Amino acid sequence: MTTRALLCTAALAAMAASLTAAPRTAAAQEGTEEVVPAPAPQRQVSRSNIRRLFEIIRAEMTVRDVQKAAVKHYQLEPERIHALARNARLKGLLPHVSASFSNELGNRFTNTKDGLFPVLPSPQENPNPNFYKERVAESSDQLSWSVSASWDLDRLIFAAEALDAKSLTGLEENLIREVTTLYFSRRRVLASLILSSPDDDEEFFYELMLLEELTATLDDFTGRRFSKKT
Amino acid sequence: MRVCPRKARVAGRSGSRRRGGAPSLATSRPAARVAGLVAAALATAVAPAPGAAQSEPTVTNVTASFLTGPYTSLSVHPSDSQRVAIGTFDGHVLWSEDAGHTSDTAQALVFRRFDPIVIRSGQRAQFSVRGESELDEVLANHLRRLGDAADDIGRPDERSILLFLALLGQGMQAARWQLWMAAPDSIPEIGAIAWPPGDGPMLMAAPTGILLSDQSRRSWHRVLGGPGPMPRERDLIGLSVGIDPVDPKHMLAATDRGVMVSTTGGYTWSRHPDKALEDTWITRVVWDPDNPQLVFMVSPDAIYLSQDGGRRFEPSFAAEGEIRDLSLSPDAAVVATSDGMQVATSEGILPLLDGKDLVGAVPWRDGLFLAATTEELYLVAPDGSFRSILRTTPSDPYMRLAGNPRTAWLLSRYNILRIGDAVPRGSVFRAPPPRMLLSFGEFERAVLARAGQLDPDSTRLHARARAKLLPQLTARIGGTLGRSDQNRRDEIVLPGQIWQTAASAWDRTHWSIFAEWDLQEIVLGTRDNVSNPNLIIESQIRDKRDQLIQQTRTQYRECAALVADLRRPPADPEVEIAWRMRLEELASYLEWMSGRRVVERTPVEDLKLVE
Repeated sequence: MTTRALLCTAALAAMAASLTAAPRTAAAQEGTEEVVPAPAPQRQVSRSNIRRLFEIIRAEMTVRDVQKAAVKHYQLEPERIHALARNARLKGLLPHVSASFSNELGNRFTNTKDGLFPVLPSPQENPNPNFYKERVAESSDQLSWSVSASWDLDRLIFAAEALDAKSLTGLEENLIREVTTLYFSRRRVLASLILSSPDDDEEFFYELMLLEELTATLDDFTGRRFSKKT
Repeated sequence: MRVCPRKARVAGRSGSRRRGGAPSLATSRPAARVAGLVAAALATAVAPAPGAAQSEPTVTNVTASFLTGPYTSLSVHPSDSQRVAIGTFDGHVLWSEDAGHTSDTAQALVFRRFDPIVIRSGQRAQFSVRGESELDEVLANHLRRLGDAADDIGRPDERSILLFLALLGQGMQAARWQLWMAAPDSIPEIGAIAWPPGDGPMLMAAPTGILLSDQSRRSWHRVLGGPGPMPRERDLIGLSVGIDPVDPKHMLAATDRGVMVSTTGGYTWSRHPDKALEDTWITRVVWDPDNPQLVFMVSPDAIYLSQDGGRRFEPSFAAEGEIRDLSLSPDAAVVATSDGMQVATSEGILPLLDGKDLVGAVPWRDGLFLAATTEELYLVAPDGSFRSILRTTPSDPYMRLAGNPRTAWLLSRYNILRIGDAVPRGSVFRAPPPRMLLSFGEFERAVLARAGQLDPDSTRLHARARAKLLPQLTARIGGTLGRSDQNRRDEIVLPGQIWQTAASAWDRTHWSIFAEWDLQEIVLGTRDNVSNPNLIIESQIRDKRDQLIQQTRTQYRECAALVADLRRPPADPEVEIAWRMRLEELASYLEWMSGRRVVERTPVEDLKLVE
């Protein structure tokens, strides 16, 4: 043990001395004798209150129904999550489809003059006032179409999107844990109110407030289903 | 965590030396001869062997009476050890006035996650505005405000804001994490709680500051600390608190900025005048309930003592190891350190459990002591012998031991254990005992299978090589349908003219099939590509998996312990109902997560009273 520690140990002894030397309250004097306590008296809970509590609980939504309602409200049902993951892979069977359609219309007129070409009188039935050697008129109309389909076959084995869907199970777990805890917190408050109702009015009021608060929260978690059935 | 925590009486073990008990002080620590002599004298005077039946601690798990953990702090009323307050990691304060039979709950702090959903409805909602002109305006306003406030809060990385806004403006998904979002989440952990002498307000230290409750303890408000729910760098951190056992308006609050004092019941605070405490990290404020003139401030390095009701403090103790806790009894002070415990009486110092890294130590009955490490609870005799009476697991470590010989309390992360009177047994209900239907292994496999995470490979986000052997297949078919005509008049052969008329039509069809393989993916893959964002997502999924396992394991253990305990239900029907409700809570959670029936049990509402 170092010198410092020895000195500090001496200081602790002084500290303990101050504990015992200092004037103590009456409660402390009594406390020194109270080493092994008597067992706490057992409280009496009315049997009728117990029956009443059970009746109320029976009439309420079960925790399973509350859990189902919550995941339904938040669209986090396990079946939905599994379907999302499965469908992410099955997308590999369905192709990306593209289609194209085009139409092309064309007209071409060609009038040719030739220096060597003799200037001849223009016949009445086929006038050629500009003395063209040759006149050509062409027209065309073309319709094109195509359809293309593309498959990402590797998705059948691995699709990253499926794992994104699986990560929703984390949200589901959080939701279930929270709603289960809330449900039984509320039930404990209910039991406390019925089995050992506070004597103090203010305390009773706060208990009721807490019950209301938990009921409202559960109601929101379940998309108003809790209050409808409770 | 032990398998059956609620056993009414923990079985005693003999042969504590074989379990590593410290040899006698006089022989093992020659340097501490003086202290050793005192210890020896004390030991011979008052110490029975730690196995004496009359002082055998009875450990009762009363977690079922409280809200579910994880728990963070435990505070025992200084003068009535039947009253206990517990803090949780998610901002709840739980307290019991009847030794853990029933409890009250209040939410003092609320967790707020700092994520884009909060941003859309919170202070940064402006960033979610879409449309180019609006964004320009929003950005200009934001930068102007930042410029105004730069002296106070410092300038954040504006490039990342610009990037985020640009992505939003283009309607593109921004990255999951942006630098400007890197504000920490709020910390709702509850730290030390101080009991008032009567029924008045409680005081609490938390990472977010110092909080005070109202008379009912249902509502809490911050009296010291940062203004917002999100922690900021310079916000005050609450470390520990204490209330004068005689004058509840006199309070002490230890913070990371020093000790604060209030004489107005917590409504106003001033810095403690003692300069010695300014830079001290005080982890515990202990007010002697019997003599309010004595106040102890515990720091890892020293214990400071005030003998004038907290006005002036003097360092009074230091130890070789780190000081963890201090417990007072009418005639002794017990100091738990990372290197054993030291018991100070007016006759001297008694070092015990040398080398044990303790989280707490309290005096027990018949001159014995209780001491706890993060892993074990010990019953210690003044002669240095000790034996382990309870053991936990690394995932559920013991965090605090406090109380007195009447009732001591041991807090682990997920359990609240009362050490004292046994719970009277004998049910007033007629119901078969509950029974576990799934083994631990079966249960865990069911949970992971249901979550689709049974096989680690199934959570791997990089593309499998075999997947890349399948090509990207493209089939294409197309056609052309056309017609043309030509009229040609040749003038060269006048007077006779030549006319030519031609008409044509066509129909063409073509098709092709392409198959593409990415040889880079097949040969090298993307597994080692650190820029692959999938790696981050994959690591998040793995973290979720670990959390899921840890969460369900803890709940399964607690459930199994309750099932074992309910084979001998408590005599108090209210306590039994509370325990059965907790069993129902745990079982319903486990059954949802595993998709299997885990516990065979009688629902609370179907219990029949024995006539």
